[in-house]
Amino acid sequence: MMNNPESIDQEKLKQILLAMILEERKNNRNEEFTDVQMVDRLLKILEELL
Amino acid sequence: MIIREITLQNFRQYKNVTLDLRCQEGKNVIIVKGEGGAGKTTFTQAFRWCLYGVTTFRDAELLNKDVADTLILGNSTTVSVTMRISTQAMDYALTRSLVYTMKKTGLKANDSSVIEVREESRDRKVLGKHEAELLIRSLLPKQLAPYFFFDGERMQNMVEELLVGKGEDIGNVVRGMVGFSSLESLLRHLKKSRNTTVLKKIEKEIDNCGSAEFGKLSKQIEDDTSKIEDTLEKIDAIENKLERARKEERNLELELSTYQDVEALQQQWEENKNRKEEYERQKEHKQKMYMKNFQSEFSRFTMIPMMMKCKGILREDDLSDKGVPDICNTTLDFLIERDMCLCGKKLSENPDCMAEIKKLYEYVPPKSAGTMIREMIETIETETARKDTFFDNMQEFVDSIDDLSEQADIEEQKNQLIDQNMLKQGDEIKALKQKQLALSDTIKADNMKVKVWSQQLGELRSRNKSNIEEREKLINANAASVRWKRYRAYAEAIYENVLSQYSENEKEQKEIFDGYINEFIYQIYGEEIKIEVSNAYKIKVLNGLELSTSQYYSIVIAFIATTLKMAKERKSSSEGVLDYPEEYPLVMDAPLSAFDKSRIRIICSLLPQIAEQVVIFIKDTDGDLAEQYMYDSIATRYEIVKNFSEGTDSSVKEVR
Repeated sequence: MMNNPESIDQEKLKQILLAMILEERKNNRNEEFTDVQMVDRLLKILEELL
Repeated sequence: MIIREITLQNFRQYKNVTLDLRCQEGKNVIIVKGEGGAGKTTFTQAFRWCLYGVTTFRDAELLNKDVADTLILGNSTTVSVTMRISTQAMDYALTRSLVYTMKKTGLKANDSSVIEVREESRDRKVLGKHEAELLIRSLLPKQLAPYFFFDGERMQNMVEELLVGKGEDIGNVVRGMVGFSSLESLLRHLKKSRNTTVLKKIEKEIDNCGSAEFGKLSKQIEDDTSKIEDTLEKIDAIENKLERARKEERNLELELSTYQDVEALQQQWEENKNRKEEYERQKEHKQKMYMKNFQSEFSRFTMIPMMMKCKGILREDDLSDKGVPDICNTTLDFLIERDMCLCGKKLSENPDCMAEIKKLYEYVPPKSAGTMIREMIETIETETARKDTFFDNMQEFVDSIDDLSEQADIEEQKNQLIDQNMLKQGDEIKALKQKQLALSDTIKADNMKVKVWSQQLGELRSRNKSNIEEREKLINANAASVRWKRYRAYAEAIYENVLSQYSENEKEQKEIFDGYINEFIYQIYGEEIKIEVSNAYKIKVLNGLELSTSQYYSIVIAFIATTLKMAKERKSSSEGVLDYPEEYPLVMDAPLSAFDKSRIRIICSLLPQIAEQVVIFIKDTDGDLAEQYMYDSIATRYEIVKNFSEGTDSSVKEVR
């Protein structure tokens, strides 16, 4: 499934993963955002951290 | 969550009661004792009503009867329960209230109760309705409320909920409680196959960077990927079906092999039949012999009494001496013709002599009557001497014929049994074989489907692979899509990473759950009841035996203890991808009524160790035991006092 695995920076990956989990955790507690909004927020995390 | 205080206003038999439930270091048990009907259950229901707005009272009316009776027309009053709680993040005061108004038609409650949640911070912010509901859900999901606001009298319902194949699915809730919610939602938001996901959006962006040809290729890849997933699902479903069918086929074979061999039964039947026919032949022979014997002997036998009588008469008459030896009837004829008697007298002149001579005809031969009589007596004696053997012989025949009849009947009965057995077995075997045949046809058809679908899958995959490669080439050649390609690589890597962490953690957590619950059951029940926890966190009793009530109740307590322990462990864990759940209070109504003394002792020592806070409402007798066993852990003791003069106003006093 994965494309160009050699280009993945593992530290960066870990950073994004934790940021995403925190975002999900926050939303699970507050249910502030819908699924569609959450997808945008996760994508934004990806863009910001890459 | 720790409950610091609960206040009931006009709630059932409580007009205004507050319980301080704060715990101290090492003392986390609050005991509230009360006799039957004092209002223990009302109190435990008050906790659930405050959080979720529901109760299980038969009479749904919540307003205190005294207050209701004094309410005048047009006036309103409020029933409320306030819980002051502490969570990891904040202290809150939760108040649920319901307004009652006296109308012309009688007392009417508002349509629904209202929850107000206020932060107990400096600004005392009141949470919105949605926020309040979310907070309560995160504190304790409603599905698990029966286990943490526990009603001992309703233990049976809890058992039903926990068993595999029964009740609601509590798997997601338990998974949430042990920390999986965030991983689950992240997976859902990343996944490629859903419409609105991170990966799907990235793919669309990549498509937007390309030419028309690129878009066509992407569409083809998307369609094929969807077909591949559908086909994989179909194959997966049919493989599962096939596995079940093969298992059933093996069971059928096993079942068929347990039937007695029909050929052996048939052979036994033939042997029995031959024996029966042999007995019947012998019987027929004996019957013929009997008749023959009867015919030959019966006339003689019936004449015996007559012969005996005759012998007696002949002996009595003693006729044998009256004959003249060596004289026969021709001698008498000669004497009459010569007209001279043996004595020399003329017969014609001596009628007496003539009469004597003529009388002699009666005794002289042709055959001498005396000889005949002697011979007859001898014959009679011989014949009468044989009379006993006739009876014996005939009886012997009769016995023998009876015996042979019985033997033939036994063989016949044996065959009747075999007939029945074969008939019954035959029907069953026939049904089983029909089932086997149908199953075999289904398996063949399904195997064929798998073969066809696998072939289609291969073709689809191969086409998709070359399309993906082609698309990758186009992406690489297109500078505009490079950024999105990078995002995709990371998003895919994260998805794989989360999926693998989720699987690993879930397996690990379930194993821990499995281990803990079995350990607790052993600890509580004292014997091993091997149970398995399904993926949906349902309980399956492994030995398949029907469990006793006390065993089932031990499982419920063990389930509660396990969930508490796991939540507690998650809280103390400082890192990792799983969430850190809240701790849960344990509010129990009559929790020990189903257990004997030794188990009460175990449960009493177990609960304070596992739960952060234990509030027990208990009847006096069990309460004394609980007090004794949890002595060191008790923070406060209360007693519910029922006001008998009014009957509608209970109060609670602290016992020191």
